[in-house]
Amino acid sequence: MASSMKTPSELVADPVFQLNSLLWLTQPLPDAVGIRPVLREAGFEVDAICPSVTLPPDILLLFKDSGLAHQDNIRPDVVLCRQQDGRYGVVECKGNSFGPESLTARQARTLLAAVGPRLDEALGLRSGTITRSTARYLVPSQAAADMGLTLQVLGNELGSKKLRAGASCVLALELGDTVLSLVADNAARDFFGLRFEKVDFLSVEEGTDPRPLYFIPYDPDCSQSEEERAYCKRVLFERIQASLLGAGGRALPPADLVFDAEGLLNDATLGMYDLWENKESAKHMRKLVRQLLAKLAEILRNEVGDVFRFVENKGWTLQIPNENTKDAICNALSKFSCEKMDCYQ
Amino acid sequence: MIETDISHIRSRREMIRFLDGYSLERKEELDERKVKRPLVKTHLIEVLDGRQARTDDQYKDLFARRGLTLKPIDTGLFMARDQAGSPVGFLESLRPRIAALYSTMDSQPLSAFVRKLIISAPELDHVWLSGVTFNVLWNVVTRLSAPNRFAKIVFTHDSVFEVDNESEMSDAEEEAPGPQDETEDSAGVVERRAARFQLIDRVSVVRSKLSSLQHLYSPLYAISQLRFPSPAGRGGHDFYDNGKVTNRSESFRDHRSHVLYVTRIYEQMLGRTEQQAWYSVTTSLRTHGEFRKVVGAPLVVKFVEPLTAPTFDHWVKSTFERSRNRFRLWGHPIRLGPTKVHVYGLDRHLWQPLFLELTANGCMAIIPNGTCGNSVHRLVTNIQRFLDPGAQVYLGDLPYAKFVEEASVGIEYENAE
Repeated sequence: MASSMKTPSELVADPVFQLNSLLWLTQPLPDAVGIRPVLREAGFEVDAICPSVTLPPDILLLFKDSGLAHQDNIRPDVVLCRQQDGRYGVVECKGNSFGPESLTARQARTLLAAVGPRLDEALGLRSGTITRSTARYLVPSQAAADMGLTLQVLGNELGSKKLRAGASCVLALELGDTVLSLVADNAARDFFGLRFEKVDFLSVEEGTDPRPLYFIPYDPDCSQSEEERAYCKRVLFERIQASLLGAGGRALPPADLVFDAEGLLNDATLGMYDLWENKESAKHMRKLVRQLLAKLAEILRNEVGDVFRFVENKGWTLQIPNENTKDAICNALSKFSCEKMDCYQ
Repeated sequence: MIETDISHIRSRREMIRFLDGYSLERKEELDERKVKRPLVKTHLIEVLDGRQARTDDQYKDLFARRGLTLKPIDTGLFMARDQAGSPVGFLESLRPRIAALYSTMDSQPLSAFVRKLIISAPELDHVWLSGVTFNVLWNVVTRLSAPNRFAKIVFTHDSVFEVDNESEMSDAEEEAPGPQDETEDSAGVVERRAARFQLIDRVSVVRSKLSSLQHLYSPLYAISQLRFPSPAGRGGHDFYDNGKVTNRSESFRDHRSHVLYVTRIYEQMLGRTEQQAWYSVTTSLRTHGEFRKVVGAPLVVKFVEPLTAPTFDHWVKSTFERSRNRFRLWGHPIRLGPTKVHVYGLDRHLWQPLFLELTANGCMAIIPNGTCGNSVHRLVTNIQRFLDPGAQVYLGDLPYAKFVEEASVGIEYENAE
C-alpha cells in the first residue's frame, strides 16, 4: 500500500489541493464528518468551473487604450454564486501571491475588470442576475497579506485608466496540527457572510495527510511541486485504469473495445478535459495517457497476449475473444500499479 | 432441481394458481410441523439499469449467457431451467430493473444457484436491503399489521475485521455467506463481536421496545431479515438482506403482492439514490458558450463507534488485497495516514467506478455518473453487517433513511394477477 504525506506548507500551496478543498466547501454534507462546508452553509454553490470569461468589447478597448498588460480571455478556477440574492464570487486559486509587475498580474487585471458591474454580461447571464460580485484569490495564509496589497495596487491602476475594477478579497488556507482553516479578510467575510475571521473546516488526524478525495485530479496548467504533480498523475492514471478495467469487466465476449485518450481523460476528470483549451496542455495530457496505455499494452502482451494495441484510424483496441481471456485481462489490469507503473507481485 | 412438474404451466394465471395451491399445502404442513416439500422462495435480482433487458428476447439472451435458459410463457414471465435443462422455477420481470425468480427448490441449493448466477454476471446483482432500509420497512409493517400479529426480525452483525488471529487473514475466498449457509458444525471459535439472533413477538410489543433496544445495543440496527405478516392469514413473508423472500403464508398471491410492494420501493430508492448521488460535470449553454459545474452529493457513512487501527487495517487489506472480498471492491489504496486511505477504484461486481475515502470514523464515496445505485445499497448493507451496525448514512446532507422513507410514500399494493 502506497504512502503519501505532504508537509503542510507544500499542500496548502498546491492549486489542485486548493481547488478540490474549495469544491468540498460547497458540497452537501451532514454535521461532524470531518469536513464542514462553510461556503455551502453561507448559501453558496458552484456556478461554473473554469468558465471562459471574455470582457465586453468596450472594456477591452479601454484596456487597449490604457496600455495595461492584460489578457483578452481568462478562465478563472471557479465561479461561486448565491442565487437567492445574486452574489457571484469568481475564484482563482494560487500557490503564492504575485506582484503587480508579474505575468500573473495580466490575468488579475482582466479578472478585476470582469467582476465589475458587467460580470453578468461576461458570464453570459441575464442582465440584473448579479447584484454583487467579487474577485477572490485563494492562497496559503502566509501569502494573504501580500496578495491583498497586490489586488489593491491593481485596482488603483485600473481606476486611474477609467477602468472600473470590481471588488476583490482574499481567502486563505491555514493548516494547523489538527485542522485546516479558512481565513477570510474583511471584504471576504462581508461578501460571504462569514461570522469569523477564521473558520475550521477540515479536521486532520495526527500524522495524517489532510487532503480530501479529489474531484478534479489533475490540472496541466497549474504550477505544482514535482512530488505533488506525481501524486495527481497517479490519481489520474488510477481513474483511467478503473475506466479500462470497468469496460473490460462489463464486456460481453467476443468484443472489441475501442478507447481514445480524450474519452478516457474525460472519464477520469468528470468531463473537465474538454475544458482545457490550452492546446499544449491537452497535447501533454494525451501524451501522458498514451504512455499509460502503451505500458498497459506491454503488461497485457506479457501476461495475456497481443490483445491491446493501437489500431490506425480506430484507436486503442482491446480484443476480448472469450470469457477466459476476459478474466485474464481483468486480472492483469487489476494487478497493475500506477504508482510503480508495473504489476504488483 | 425441483420435484414438482411445472412444465404444463402456460400463463401467469396458471403459475399463480399453481403456486397458490402449493403454498397452501406447505402452510398446512408448516402448521402441523411436518413440511414435506420446500417452501416457495423468491429471489429478487437487479437487472443492471434495465437497459439490457427491455424485451423478452433481451431477457432470454441476458440470462442464457449466464446459464439460465428462459422459455417465455406469458408477457414478462418465463420458465427457468439450468444448464442441464432441469427446471429451476419461474422468472418474472417485475419492474424494468428488477426480476423475481420464484422457485420451490430447497433453500440452500437455490441460494447457491442464485449466488453463482449473480457472481458471474456484472449485469445482475442481488437486491440489497440494508439494516437502514429494513428499519423503514419495519415501520411499514407496524402500520400494515394488527398489533396482535407476530413479527419476526433477525439481526446479524459480525465484526469480521476485528482481528482475532492471523489465520483468519489467510482465506483466499471471502464472499459473504448466504443467510442460511452457516451451520453449527462449520462455525469456528473466534473471539470478536458477533451477533445473530431472532426476535419473535407481537407487533405492538416490538414497536414499543425496538427503538430503545437499538439505542442500548447497536447490533440491533443491523436487521438482516424481516417478516411481513400476511393479511391473508397466519404466517408471512420473510425478506432477507440479499433480496431472498420466503413465503411462509398460505397465499402466493399475497406473497407476490408483498414482493411487488418492496420491489417498487427499492426501484424508487435506486432512482432517488442515483439522482442525488451521481457526480458529473453538467453543461449549460449561455450566450457566451458552455458553462460547466459539478453536481452530485457524496455518500457519507459515519461510524458510531470508530474502528481501532488494527480493525481498520484488516478491513482495508482484506478488501483491497483480495480479488474476491466481501465488499466486492477493487482499487489500490493510497495510504494517507494510520487510519485514512483514498481509493480511486471500482465496484468489482458491477465494474463501475467508485472513489472512496476510508477512515476509522467512516467512509465517504464519490459516485460518478452512471454507477448503479446498487453499489451504494450493497456498501451500506455490508458496512452494517461487518463494520458498524449503527452506522449513520447520508446522501449529501440528507439521511439515507429519509430516502428510503420517501421511496415508500405512495407505493401501493397491487392485485397479484
